[in-house]
Amino acid sequence: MKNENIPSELFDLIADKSFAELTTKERSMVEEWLTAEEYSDYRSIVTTIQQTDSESDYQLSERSWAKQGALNLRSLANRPIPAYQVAAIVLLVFGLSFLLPSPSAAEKEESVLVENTEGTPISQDSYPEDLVFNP
Amino acid sequence: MNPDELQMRLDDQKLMQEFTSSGSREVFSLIYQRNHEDLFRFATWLSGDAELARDITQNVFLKVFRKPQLFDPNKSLKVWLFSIAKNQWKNEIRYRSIRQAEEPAESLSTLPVEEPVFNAKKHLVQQALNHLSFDHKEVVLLKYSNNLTIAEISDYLECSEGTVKSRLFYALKKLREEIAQQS
Repeated sequence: MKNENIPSELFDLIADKSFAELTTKERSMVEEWLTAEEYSDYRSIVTTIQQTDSESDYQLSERSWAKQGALNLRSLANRPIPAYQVAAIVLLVFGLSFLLPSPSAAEKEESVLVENTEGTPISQDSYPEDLVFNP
Repeated sequence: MNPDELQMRLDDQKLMQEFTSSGSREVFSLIYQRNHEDLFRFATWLSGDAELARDITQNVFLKVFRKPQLFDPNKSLKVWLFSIAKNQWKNEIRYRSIRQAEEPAESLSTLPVEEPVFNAKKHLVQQALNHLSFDHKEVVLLKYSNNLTIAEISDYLECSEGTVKSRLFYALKKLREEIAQQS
């Protein structure tokens, strides 16, 4: 007899019933294909597989959807960057440094003066009055 | 309709149709609750790596969430989910082998096979399973760890039910022999 012709129920019975629990009809069907010993051994294997959760303490909650972004970022961070891309970025940054105007010395000095003269805006309401320095 | 009623009334196929048409988060949540444990178990067995299995499971549901219209309502949802998981796993293996080829110094060895702390019998079965070919191991786990029917497995593997039964029968026989040898 070819294995392809085995009734599908046989595989279900192995998972569901011990040999002793089989009805007469089921037993005669099983015995066409397996001995009682084989059946019991297969059942023992199958029940062990069914009892074995790959990891008992896993908890996949819907909240973990929020972690998806982080996972994607992590895989992005681990992805190797081709050398030509690195070179292109360096050239771009180098080129931009020439194109963008840099503040002149006079502007720098002016900004320092503004900082020194304005100080803390104590006139604003948000500032706590008891912290106004008034000797 | 509250979520419990909804769950009682709709099977997976109908839930997917409902989600495809409405995009409802509640419906998606039911789909997720019904299937995530089985999918995670399958992915863990498949990859031998619980962390990778988590990523795979998450990515599968992300795909379902984004592209529910790809689901064929004439087929089992579980079969579809497992097929996506298997593809994700294959992609991961491909990606890792490319990285391994590019970075030999880093020694990215093959997928780490976690061996959870089993009792002696579970350990024996686990060892015996690892001695099976991928095809045989897969069919055993789909049938007995994930409770798919022979018809669903045949749909998933795109082969005849006869082939599934033949593989399953052979796999059980091999497992028995392996265990007898080990013990």
